[in-house]
Amino acid sequence: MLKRGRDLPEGQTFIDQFYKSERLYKGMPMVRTTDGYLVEWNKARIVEQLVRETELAETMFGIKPISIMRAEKLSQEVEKRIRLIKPKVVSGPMVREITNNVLLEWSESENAPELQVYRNILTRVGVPVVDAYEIDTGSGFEAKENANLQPNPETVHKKKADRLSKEQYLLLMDPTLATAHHQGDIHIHTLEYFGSRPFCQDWDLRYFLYYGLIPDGSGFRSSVAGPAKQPEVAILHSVKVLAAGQTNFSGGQGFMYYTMFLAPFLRGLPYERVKQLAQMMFYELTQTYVTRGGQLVFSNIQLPMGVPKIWQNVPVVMKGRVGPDTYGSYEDEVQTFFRAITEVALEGDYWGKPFNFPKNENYVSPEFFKPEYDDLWMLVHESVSKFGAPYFDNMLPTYRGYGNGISCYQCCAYQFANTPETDPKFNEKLYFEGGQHFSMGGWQVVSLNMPRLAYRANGDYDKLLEAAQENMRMAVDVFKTKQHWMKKSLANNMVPFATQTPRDPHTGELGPPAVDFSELVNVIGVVGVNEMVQHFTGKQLHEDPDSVRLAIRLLLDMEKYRKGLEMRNGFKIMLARTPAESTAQTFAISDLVSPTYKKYAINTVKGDLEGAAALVKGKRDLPVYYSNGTHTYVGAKIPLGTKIDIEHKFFPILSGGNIFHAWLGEACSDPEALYKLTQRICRNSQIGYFSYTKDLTVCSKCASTSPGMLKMCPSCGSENVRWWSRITGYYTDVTGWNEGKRQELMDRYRVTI
Amino acid sequence: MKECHVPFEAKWFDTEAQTEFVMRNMFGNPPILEVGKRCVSSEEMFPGGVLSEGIVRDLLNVKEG
Repeated sequence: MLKRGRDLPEGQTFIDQFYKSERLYKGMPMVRTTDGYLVEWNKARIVEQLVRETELAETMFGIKPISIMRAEKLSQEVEKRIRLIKPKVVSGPMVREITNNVLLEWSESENAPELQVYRNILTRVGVPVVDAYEIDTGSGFEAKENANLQPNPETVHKKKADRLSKEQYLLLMDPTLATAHHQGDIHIHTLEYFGSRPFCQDWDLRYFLYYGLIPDGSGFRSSVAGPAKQPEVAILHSVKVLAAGQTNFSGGQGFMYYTMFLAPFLRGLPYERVKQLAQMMFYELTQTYVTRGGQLVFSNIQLPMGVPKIWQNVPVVMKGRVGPDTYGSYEDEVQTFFRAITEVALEGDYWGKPFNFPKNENYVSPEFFKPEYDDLWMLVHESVSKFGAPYFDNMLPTYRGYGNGISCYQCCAYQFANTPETDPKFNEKLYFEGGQHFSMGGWQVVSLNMPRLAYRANGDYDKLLEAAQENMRMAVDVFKTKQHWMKKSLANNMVPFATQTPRDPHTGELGPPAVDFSELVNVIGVVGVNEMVQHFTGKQLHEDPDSVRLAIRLLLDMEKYRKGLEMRNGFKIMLARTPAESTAQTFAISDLVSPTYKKYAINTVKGDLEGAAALVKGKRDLPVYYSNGTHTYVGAKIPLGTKIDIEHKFFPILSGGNIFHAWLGEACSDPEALYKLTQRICRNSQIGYFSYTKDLTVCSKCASTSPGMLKMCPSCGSENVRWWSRITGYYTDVTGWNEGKRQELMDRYRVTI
Repeated sequence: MKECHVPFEAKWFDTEAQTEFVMRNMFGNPPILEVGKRCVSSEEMFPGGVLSEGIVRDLLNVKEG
């Protein structure tokens, strides 16, 4: 074996030296390995590699590894083919791909599907050098796939890793599922983390206020903090929990009852200090620029403005103790903290723009939706009027089950709940007995391309439902695959923050794990219901009640089917609207490029179809999209009341979550009018989660923020401005949006309130 | 209703029936009692899990006894 770089006779290249060697005359070339060595041809290496690598087929698919006899036969065929093409030298990857090609051919000719599985395992994952270069320079692979990702070196690194991981996971998946994802029947979200992390988590902050903070989960690679004793420390720990959580999860991180769980730390503090703490929390979360490829901590906090009834007599957890006080005795501190958080949110950052994280989930429940809380609600609506930013987590509709358990909206709009009926340990968790605590979140999200179901059904409802059920079963198979893979990751302690079991500060005994993985929910999402009914009935949701009727009927049938799937499979499954920041575009493009579906898609896809002509040149980030979830078309010129009346009907059906958007016009809305509208939505509709969105222009020259999407700063005249708006569930700089979402932004029909 | 000699028709709460209720912004669970354009869900008829005859009589406009 010779290593490159060794001294060679003058005028002779390294390869030339081998051309002259007698080995070449044996008829086989030298092999250049991936790590840079030149080695002699030896087909036994192919056999060894085949046998060793196909052991993964047993691990991942339960298929036995290739037999030595078959591997030898295969290596002979590879040798024969290489001999035929007479290369002067072959690379390891080339030998590998010839081997894979033979596997694919034999898989078909011998009707041996296991050979295709072997091929999937043997193939390489990665990118052409040009693609990698493009990622370095901020373009290319999924450059605008997630608007929360910032253009920076960490993102470059993440994108390269994403590309490799996505290929790996699809290759190791049942080919039927991988093909369904590739071809746009379903979309497996956050695929880059499929085999390594669960999706999202809504944390019970009491856990960390009792046990302290171990950011690495083990304590051996990071410092270990005891339970917070000072308010500043408690706030900072809360921020670090979310940041650490992001390293173990692929989606958003949040806290339930944030104002309530931290209120006991605030007793006796002057208001200005409480406000300072709230400000610190906002800046820490929007300047901690370190998570998952250098993005901000995608976070949300649930904000009750008082102590909900269910918590009144529950002992407080703080400073490593449980009790003796109860949360009910901290009503004033909860209100004060709520006011401070809302005032800081209303002021915005130094440039006067809103804090995009954490997402403030204003908790609307019967106790706090009364006149005595009007001043706080008015403050919230001043913020809505100025920025449109906060969210409303409406507990009033019956289906939210308020009073019987706990429930929250989290991440981009997923709903999770825990009740005594669904959880036998509910009371132990409520009272934090033995460290038992709530742990709500998502395992994985798979979205269904709803318009394509209609294209397949050709006007036949039974076929429509059958197609939906088929895709739901595929989603369940994806969930099972994930759980199977994650078992190994969890067993190998590869998700250490979530699986940590810290010692009790008093007894020294190990506490329960931070996350109860059996509580995590699998989410089946719907995208493009509006376009589905449009194709099926000829009318969009806002154009004909029969379209709404069809959508409701199908979703009710899907919901029934979901319950059956849940019972049969023994894990939690929910039906939801998915945020579909990129999926709404991906599905539209999948259908536009499909020879089977493009003739239908061209009539339903929204956006700039002329702009989509670049499809033929292979461009994929184009200004087209399907409507999100069960939303009406964003450009539908309908009164807000009509939009509410259509969209609220879907909330009780989509148990996994939904969101209602009110797109506001440029003018600053009257906070009182907004508050009245909020009251109407909360009291008279089934909408469980909603937000108002106001577009903003941010000027970096004079550091100001103005309403509307303006080409020039109205304060200083500078054209160095950027637009901010809500992409799907969160606010961010529009320059990071994909073309589909940017087009949707332009198409949004805005109302003045 | 039999006791009160109120004629009625029982229908399955299948998806089609549920769809029609949702279209009318009725989101409760079955049984749902429908009289003309008015209807009440099980949540309203069975507060605390017990049938409130008053609510039913009120809807049916049937006098007690």
